Amino acid sequence: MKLSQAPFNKPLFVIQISDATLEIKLLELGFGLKSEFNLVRQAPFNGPFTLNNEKTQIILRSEDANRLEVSLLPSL
Amino acid sequence: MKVVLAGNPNCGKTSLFNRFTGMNQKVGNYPGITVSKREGSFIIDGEACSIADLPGIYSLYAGSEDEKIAVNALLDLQKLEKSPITLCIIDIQSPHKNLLLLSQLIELGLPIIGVFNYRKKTTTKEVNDWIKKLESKYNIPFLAVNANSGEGAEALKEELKKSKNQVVISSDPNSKVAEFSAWIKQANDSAAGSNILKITKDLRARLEDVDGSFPSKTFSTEHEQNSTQQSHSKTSYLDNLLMHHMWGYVIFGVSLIVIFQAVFSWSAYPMEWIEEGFGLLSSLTQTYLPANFYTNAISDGIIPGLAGIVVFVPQISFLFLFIALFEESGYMTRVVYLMDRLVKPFGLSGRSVVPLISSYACAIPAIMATRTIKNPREKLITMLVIPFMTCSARIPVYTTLIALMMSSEASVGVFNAQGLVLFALYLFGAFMSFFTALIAHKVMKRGGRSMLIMELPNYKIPSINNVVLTIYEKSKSFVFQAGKIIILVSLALYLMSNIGFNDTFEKIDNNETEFVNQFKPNELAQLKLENSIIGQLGKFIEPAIRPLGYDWKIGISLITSFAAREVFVGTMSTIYALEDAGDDTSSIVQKMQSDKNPDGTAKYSLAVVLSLLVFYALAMQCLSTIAVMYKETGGWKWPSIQFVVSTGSAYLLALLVYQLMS
Repeated sequence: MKLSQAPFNKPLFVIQISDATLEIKLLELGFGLKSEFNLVRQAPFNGPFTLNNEKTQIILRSEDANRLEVSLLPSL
Repeated sequence: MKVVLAGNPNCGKTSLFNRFTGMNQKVGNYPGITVSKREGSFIIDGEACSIADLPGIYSLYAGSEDEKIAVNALLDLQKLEKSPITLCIIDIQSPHKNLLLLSQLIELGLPIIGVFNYRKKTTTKEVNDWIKKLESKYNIPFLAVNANSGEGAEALKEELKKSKNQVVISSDPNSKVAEFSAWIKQANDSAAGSNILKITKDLRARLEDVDGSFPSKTFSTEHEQNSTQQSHSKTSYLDNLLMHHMWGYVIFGVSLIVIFQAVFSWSAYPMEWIEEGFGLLSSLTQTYLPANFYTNAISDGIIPGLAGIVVFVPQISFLFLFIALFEESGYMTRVVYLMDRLVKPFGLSGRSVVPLISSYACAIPAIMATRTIKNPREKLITMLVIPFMTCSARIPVYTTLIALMMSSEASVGVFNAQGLVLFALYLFGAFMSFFTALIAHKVMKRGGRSMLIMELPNYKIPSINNVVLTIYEKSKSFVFQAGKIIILVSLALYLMSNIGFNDTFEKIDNNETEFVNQFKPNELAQLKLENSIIGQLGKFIEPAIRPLGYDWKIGISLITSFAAREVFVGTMSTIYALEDAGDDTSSIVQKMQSDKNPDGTAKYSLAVVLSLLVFYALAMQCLSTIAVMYKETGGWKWPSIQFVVSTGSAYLLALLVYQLMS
């Protein structure tokens, strides 16, 4: 599913990023392919999302969130 | 010896730079505080060392102007015969991000020292063990330093002494260093997309190598991990409130109202003391210095002119206090999150919000702060509309003009009425900024894809030291920058008001009894001013400004305030001090309020004051802003368009307001 359709506060991981520049910037911030994170909140009127992993919290626009294919992390 | 500081945004480079140089460069808690290369110096064993602080970068792949400055500066180091030592600062709380840049810098073959910046008081054996592991992996020295307290700084200086004879490892075109440098240059030179997949693949491989070798969890001490977790949970708790879909906006709006109320209410007393102090100084000058031309130039020219600026220091200090608190606490990036969607239809980005809020203080650093905006079109639109936002230099003008309209006691409910009018003027400035942005967005050719990815720092309690230093530095620069112009303008005004070439002026100047006895002292002083060079200059432009309700005295202030708008108040103070024949000790506002037209009506009627407020809200009256626009856009095209549009719309709207209101 696309990140913009993913549930909030569930462990997710990135399976595909369809934009190379976006992938570079996410990699730099520790959100590369296969990395685990949570979708935390979204600003009103389809505004930016906030994502966090263990160390970092970032803002990502909803258009860019559509370029991320993610999957729910299977529960143990 | 030369030293360069490189590292991720917000990792402590500028704190270390300040620690070494004793300088007070601005630090903060959001990415993009440093947008240009800053240089300073310090001493090691009697030897002077120069040190440069670069804007923060996550890798050697630059996306924005500030990142390009840092990457180009690092690539240029390779061209030097003896390369400076690069200190790669690594935030100990998030090393996984920082090590990507470190590994790339090492591949460039530069002499490097890895510096872990920690926030707490002690480093434990665990950190030292990891430093040893990293040293053996990368074969470069590593140290732990607390940039805020200075702990470890002396050991770092010792290490710099040891490393000073290092040079760039290889200039062989077939070496790995040369291959990597060529790759980085190609990556940054090529148009986006042409080589980007290769760059991504390479960065991914490097990141995996870094992550695989050094699991990030083990870099922090247990104490620091606990403290980081506490900081995360506090941040999460505060974010639930401050980034809430409703309360987030309510709190932001209330914060802005509190700022404008504070600017008026809290600063009223110190402003009164300053005004009284300068009044006393002026009369002491007259009493104790010999009565001559120079004494009059000081007491009627320079002192009233300077008083017109210094009196606003309390208001400006309060404004900078709140901006510093927003930046230091980490709240500013939350504002980016809240506002991005709202400003996007205007061709702006959430990243534009930080320069726009900073422009409440001053347009110059705000225009420079647009370097963090990656999309060139969004960056240009932001730069074009920044001068419409209400900068601190407008405060003296607004405060004086608002005081002409209503008493400081007036209130609407619990709010001070003057504060509300000021708030409305800030809203008007913001409205004009967004309106202009919308027009530019519709008119300008579409550029590349816009993207917003930004790290949200943890909240922290603002450092009192940093906040006080910011207020001190900004207020000092406001007084000194404006002060230089004010002294020159005040002296020029005094001279030009004491020289005249027509008969009336000569009769008054020669004290011809028959002519002089026809007038009261105040009427005579005004007649002399009116017939002086400056008076004639004001009269010359009067036909152009008369439709706006302005007389020749306001005309003089309009001319002088094109250099810097705050000069308006200083000029008015000087003109009215010259006109009162030295016997009136009332404030500039009282003098302006009591000024009458020949028909007995108030000169500063509501229509005139509103027209002036609109003119000063919109006109481009700041030479420094024009200069920085020229520098940032690389030509005269955009500053010229900006000047014509701003000043033209200021004239037309002020005309409309006066004609409708009168």
